[in-house]
Amino acid sequence: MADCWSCGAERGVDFFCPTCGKIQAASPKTTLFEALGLPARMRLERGDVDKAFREASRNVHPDRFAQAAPMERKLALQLTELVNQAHQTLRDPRRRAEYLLKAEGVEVGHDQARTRDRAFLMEMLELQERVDETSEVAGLEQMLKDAKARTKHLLAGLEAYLDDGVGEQAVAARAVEELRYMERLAERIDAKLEEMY
Amino acid sequence: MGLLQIGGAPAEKCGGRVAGIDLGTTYSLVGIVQDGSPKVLADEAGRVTLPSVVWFGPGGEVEVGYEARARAAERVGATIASAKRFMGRAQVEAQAADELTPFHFAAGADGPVVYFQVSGERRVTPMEVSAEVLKVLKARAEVALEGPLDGAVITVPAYFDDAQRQATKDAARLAGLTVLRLLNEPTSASLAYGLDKKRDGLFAVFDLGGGTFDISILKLDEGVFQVLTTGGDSRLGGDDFDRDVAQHFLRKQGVEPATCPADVATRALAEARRAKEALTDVDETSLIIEGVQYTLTRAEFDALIQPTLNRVRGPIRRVLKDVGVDGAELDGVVLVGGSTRVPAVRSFVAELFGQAPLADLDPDQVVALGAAVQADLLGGSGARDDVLLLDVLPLSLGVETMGGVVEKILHRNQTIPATARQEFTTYADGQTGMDFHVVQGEREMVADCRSLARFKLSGIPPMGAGMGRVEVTLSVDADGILEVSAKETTTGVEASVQVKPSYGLDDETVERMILDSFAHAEDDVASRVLAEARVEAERILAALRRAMIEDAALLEPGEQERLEAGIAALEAAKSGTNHTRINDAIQKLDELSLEFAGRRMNRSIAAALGGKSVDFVDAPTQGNTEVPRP
Repeated sequence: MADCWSCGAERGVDFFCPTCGKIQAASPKTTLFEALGLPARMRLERGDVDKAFREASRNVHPDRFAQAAPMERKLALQLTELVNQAHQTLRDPRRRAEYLLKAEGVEVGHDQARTRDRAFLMEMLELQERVDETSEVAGLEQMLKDAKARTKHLLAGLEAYLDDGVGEQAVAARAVEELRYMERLAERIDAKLEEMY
Repeated sequence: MGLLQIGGAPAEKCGGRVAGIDLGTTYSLVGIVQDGSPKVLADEAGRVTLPSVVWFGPGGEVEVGYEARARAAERVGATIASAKRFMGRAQVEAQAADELTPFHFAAGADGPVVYFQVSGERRVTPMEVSAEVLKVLKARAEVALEGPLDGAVITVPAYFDDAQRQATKDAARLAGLTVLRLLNEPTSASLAYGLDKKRDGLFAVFDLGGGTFDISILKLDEGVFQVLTTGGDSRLGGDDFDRDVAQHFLRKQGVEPATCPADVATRALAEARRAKEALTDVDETSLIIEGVQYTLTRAEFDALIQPTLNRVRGPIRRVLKDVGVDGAELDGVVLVGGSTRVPAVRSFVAELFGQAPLADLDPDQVVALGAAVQADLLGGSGARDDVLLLDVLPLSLGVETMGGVVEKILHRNQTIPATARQEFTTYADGQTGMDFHVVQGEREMVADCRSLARFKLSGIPPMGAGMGRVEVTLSVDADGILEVSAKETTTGVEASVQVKPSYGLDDETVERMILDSFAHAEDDVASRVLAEARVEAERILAALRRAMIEDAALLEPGEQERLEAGIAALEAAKSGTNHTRINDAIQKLDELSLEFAGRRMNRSIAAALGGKSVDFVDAPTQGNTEVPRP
């Protein structure tokens, strides 16, 4: 275990030295969940993630160290970047799932990892084309609804796999990829609706 | 001048002297925190707003604010207003955007910076214009704080991109200001508002200034002000209402905006602004355009500005969608910016949000008040446990990839400061260099985003295609300003990166401008000398008054009256603007109090020799008694 840079005492895993109270560097092993003090799981409420983020920020934000020593200011900046990254990743269920899968060694989104399932890819392509071809609001809104329902279903599957160990890794990895397509689809529909309003 | 400090310790200094500056498109303000609460500072005439207008005289002289505005008609093109609209913009953008323009853009300047031709030889950038405004506010704060400013928080529209923020920092540098933080205007307003009301919940800040529109949604939770999303239009504001009105009446006279001479435009815009302001309180007003008088009713005015006002719709819809709430579900909508005084704006906001907006704080002042609070937190009395601002990146940052597609690396609404990395692979065998293009914006194609910088990474060891891996790191600091770095990761070779900004001034130019400004710095020096003289006077007066109370027994008959007369003379001189008069009055009061000070000194020494404690003694006095400094 590392020692505190300021007083030399053993500092533990906390962001603050238990002996002198000075801010510490994050360990390279600190997970994003640990950065916010959250349990490492898929089922998390958005409100709880936000709350944890605000609490963590309250402790480490550089503004709290504006007049502190340069070392403390530097550490505060580094920890805040970590806390901000944690919030950015964990508040979004799809990114949270990706992060948890990455801990299992599954790299979603890498060129090599992308699915080559033709039927699936064709389906996604067709959905996109349908959006491009649809020009009435009602039709687009229905497609948006469908995409959201599918998103919900995929997330439920990911929760079951990641939190309860039900299902297979490969299916979970595919689900995350599908979620990415759903996101892009929803963005496209939104952009189109925006133009029509 | 140390003589009178006997018994009078210098004012207790906790942290630095800091101020918050709202550098607005049409008006600018400066605020400070005094005795724990923020306040905006007024000029000698009691006006807190300073028009963001600068007049450049033929001999290099400069006027700022109301004086500059008064001289606007004197010499066409010499008066620059609304320079903020052109900060971080290129000449082509500036000219294309403004149909009706009172500016003379310098010919042949097609570089990354706007130049105004203000007199025969002289051309200035928007940054230099803003620096003149900042200098006046800086001097105002220095008088109030009784000494040189250690730093300032300067507010910017939340929607300002990297180039515009950088330009604001450059302006501050030119004005000799240390920037503690660039703070987003809506966030600043919410700070002033939230601290005032002590309420938690979800709030929208609708900020319509002279030239920019911002809409932000914040979560207030036990003193943490978290910006959830921000949107807006950095080229929409009350100035556009003036333009709508001016163009309407000029067209009636057959004058087309695009070909309208600058002097005609200047006069018409001033009349339009006057009419707009009048219509806030009355239902009908008149205005004179090129000698012809017209009447304008509020209903007509509302109709004229409606197309412009409609432009707030899109950004509002987007931020509500980001947060996933309905306007009516918000706990409040706060109005900020002078343009929210326009009744049509208020009713439109009420309609769009489904609730009446809050306007208990002066919309002109609320941004400067918040900035003063943040300045105090950062550089003044220090951090408070109950206040923290968490701001976001307004626009995504990415890098151009093959086919002109943007790979977003840092996303919009991500809390700052933030850092993210992205790996790129070489695409040709033996490739030793890689070009990068950093852009900001939400669109997928590079062409639709704003170019920020280009750089080349060289020194990659030759390898097969796809083997070389370059990691690009984008960091955004708490000011929202970007820093880029890149390195080759497979071999660990650090390659050099040189970033060339697509817009704005490079460091060398800024340095040169700072040096140039010393040549034209007489006015600046004068205001500084004045501020210093006032500070000195204040110090002397306080010390003498205290001494006269503490050691009233040492005063001789008639001496009290003579000193009171000297004090009154110095007070009178101090309220004027002539620093020589102030220094003369200080000198006179010094002479008047010489004997009294001597008696106090002797008594202190006697006390010291008697083994008692010595009063605070700042400097040796006349005669042969040498007193060491404590």
